[in-house]
Amino acid sequence: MSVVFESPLFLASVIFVLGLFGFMARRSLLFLFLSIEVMLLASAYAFVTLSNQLNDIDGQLMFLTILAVAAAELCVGLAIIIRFEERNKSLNADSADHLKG
Amino acid sequence: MVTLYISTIFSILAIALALSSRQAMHALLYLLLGLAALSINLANSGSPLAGVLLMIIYAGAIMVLFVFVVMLLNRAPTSTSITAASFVKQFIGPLTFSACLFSFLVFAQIMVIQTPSEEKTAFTVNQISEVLFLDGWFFVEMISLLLTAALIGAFHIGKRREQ
Repeated sequence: MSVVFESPLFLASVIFVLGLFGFMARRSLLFLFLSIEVMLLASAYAFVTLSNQLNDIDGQLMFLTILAVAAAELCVGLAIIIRFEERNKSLNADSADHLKG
Repeated sequence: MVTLYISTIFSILAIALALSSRQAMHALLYLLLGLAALSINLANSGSPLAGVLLMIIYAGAIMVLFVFVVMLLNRAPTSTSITAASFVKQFIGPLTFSACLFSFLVFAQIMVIQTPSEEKTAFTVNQISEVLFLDGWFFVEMISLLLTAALIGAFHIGKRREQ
């Protein structure tokens, strides 16, 4: 039983599921991006700890890539959020269901 | 091992609180605490470079970007009067949480002093940077191109247009 809790994949999966739940449950665009960040964080954590366990250095490189991808994605996403809020006067993701314009 | 358990519990709790809190700023602060706990976890389980990078990049850059956007959107209620009750109500959660994290940090340092670490560091910074800049230089260039593209994209999208 305690082997499960000591495994780094346990923590990674818990954090990933938390992020997924947040992504499905919240409706504010800001929280959707926060949840995506949490999910990326969980996968990065899994990469690093598994690279330590399996003695393979590629996991560390994947960690750096995930950090950079998260930063790039968030940069564009937050700009879109600002434009969206200017146009719709709300951050509700449900009000973005028509694609015109 | 105790440090690992406690930081695991801390990070799960903080991230759950972050994703379920009502105010965006509180969510960001909780997420910062969760990141701190997670980086303690990483540094403790043999990858200190990843832990430090987590603090510098995630907490130092990405979360600050979030804070800037929250300030730009300015969707907080504009009540300037802060009563004592509302102050306590707003700050009791983050305050207890960060106090717990602080005492845990002190506890972890005492533990480290008492028991010299038998944790192995799987990869040193030297090894990682060697792989990154000798064999994987193309990879680094790709990341830098990606970041430049993101910068230009964010600038183009965020530009205020005349309508």
